[in-house]
Amino acid sequence: MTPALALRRARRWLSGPRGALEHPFALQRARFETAFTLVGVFYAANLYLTFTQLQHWASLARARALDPLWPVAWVESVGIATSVHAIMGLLLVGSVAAALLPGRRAARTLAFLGLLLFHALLNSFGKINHSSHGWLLCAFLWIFLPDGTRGTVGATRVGRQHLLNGFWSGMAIQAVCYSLAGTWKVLGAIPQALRGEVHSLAPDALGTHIAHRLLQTGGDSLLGGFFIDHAWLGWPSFAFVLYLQVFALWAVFRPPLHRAWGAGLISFHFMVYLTLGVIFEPPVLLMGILFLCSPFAPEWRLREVLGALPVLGGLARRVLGSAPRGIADAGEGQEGLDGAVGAHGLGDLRSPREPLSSR
Amino acid sequence: MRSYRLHALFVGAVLVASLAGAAVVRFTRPGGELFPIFSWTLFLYVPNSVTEYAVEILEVQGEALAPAPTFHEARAIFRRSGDIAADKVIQGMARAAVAGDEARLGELRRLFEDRYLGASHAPVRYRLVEREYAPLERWRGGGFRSATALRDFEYAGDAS
Repeated sequence: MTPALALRRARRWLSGPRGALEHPFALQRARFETAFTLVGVFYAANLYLTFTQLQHWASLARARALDPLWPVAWVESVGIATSVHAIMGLLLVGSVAAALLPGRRAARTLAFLGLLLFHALLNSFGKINHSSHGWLLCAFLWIFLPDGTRGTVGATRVGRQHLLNGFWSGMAIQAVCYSLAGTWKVLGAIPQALRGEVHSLAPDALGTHIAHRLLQTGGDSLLGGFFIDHAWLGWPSFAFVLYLQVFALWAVFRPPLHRAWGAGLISFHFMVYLTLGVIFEPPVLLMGILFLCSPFAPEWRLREVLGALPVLGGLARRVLGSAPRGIADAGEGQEGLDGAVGAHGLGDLRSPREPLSSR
Repeated sequence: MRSYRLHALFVGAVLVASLAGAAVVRFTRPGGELFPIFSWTLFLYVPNSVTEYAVEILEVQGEALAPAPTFHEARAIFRRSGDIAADKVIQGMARAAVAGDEARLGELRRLFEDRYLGASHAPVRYRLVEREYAPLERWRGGGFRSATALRDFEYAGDAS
């Protein structure tokens, strides 16, 4: 089996049953227009985030000691202040260039390099903060979006499909991060349960995490104490978050779930702040751009969302008595997935209904 | 068409590699990370009972503090006292001290003193301590199950 075929089979399995598309090329064009706009929004938001990071410039330049990560291992030999000015300059130039010319690969590459060096530097003080990893990984994958303007890229089906695949890759890499976080927690629960300890699926799990975190740094949070005292409320909340996290990657393959997962994971970040006092700002912005505004998501219908739920969808469909239309509809928005994971989309692209060079 | 096909395969390969890479760094790298590849082992285990290290501030600019607050409790003195990154540096310093790794201890001390204590408060005398506690028990008013002083240090304000 070729890698392309293996990926295609994996995608089809994760997507579930699909219906035939009535107007696939018109749909592809509409999705492309939205996705191209959202790429521009991402780089405009990146410029905003860069602006918020300027507050660190002076204190970074004054630093006299670092525990440098590999991308900035050269900083101490060049001189910390000089290196900080160079890195901040690159961050600014890259962010401005990509915000002005999001369609240009050179601008996107500069933006990624600036982000990589800046975050490596910012995380070279003893702890790596993970709030910007997803943003950085998305910026890396989006270097490989097609190079051109909306007009040139959107002129052909291949160009449009290429951009949609690239957009979907940004969604998928975020989902990978969440799925890993959830899966490890579930795996970590096994040895703890066997030892008879409080584990991730136990009622006191959330309260114990909150107490530990707040005691660790002498911090405070609005709802931390409440959830420690009301384990019966924290338990289902934590279990729900685990479900969202574990199946995030699966949900990316099912467009009716995009908005629901975006809203769910954004709510999760709100709750993390309100209980643990840990603030992850960029993921909220990113989940908004990629998932809440997903170009692949069909109109919001609760029955379809429930019917498309990983693992629980079958039960929901049986209870609601509906055909698996939710998952069938997933196909409507899934132009970007086909090529992203295999050759399936190429078959569509070669359809005689519209020549490859067609507008 | 060729670049499109390559891109599709590349995306698939990156996704598979990111899953595999997470597992690899989890078991091969300290902290489960080779920036920006991370295992995402956040809150992996529920901390039923923890053994952690803290810094107690004994003296600031010649003035003894009694009872000695921890660095994180000394919010009125140190601007970055609530920073979780400082806590990570403290854990690293203590582990290096326990392991007798003086070179690593020196690097982390320099970082802790320069960035988190700050020259404007020097001289500062502080102590690394090891403490064992159950988070929920301690939150509800229980104390530490054990606390052991590891080593005292003095920061004169010269990070060089």
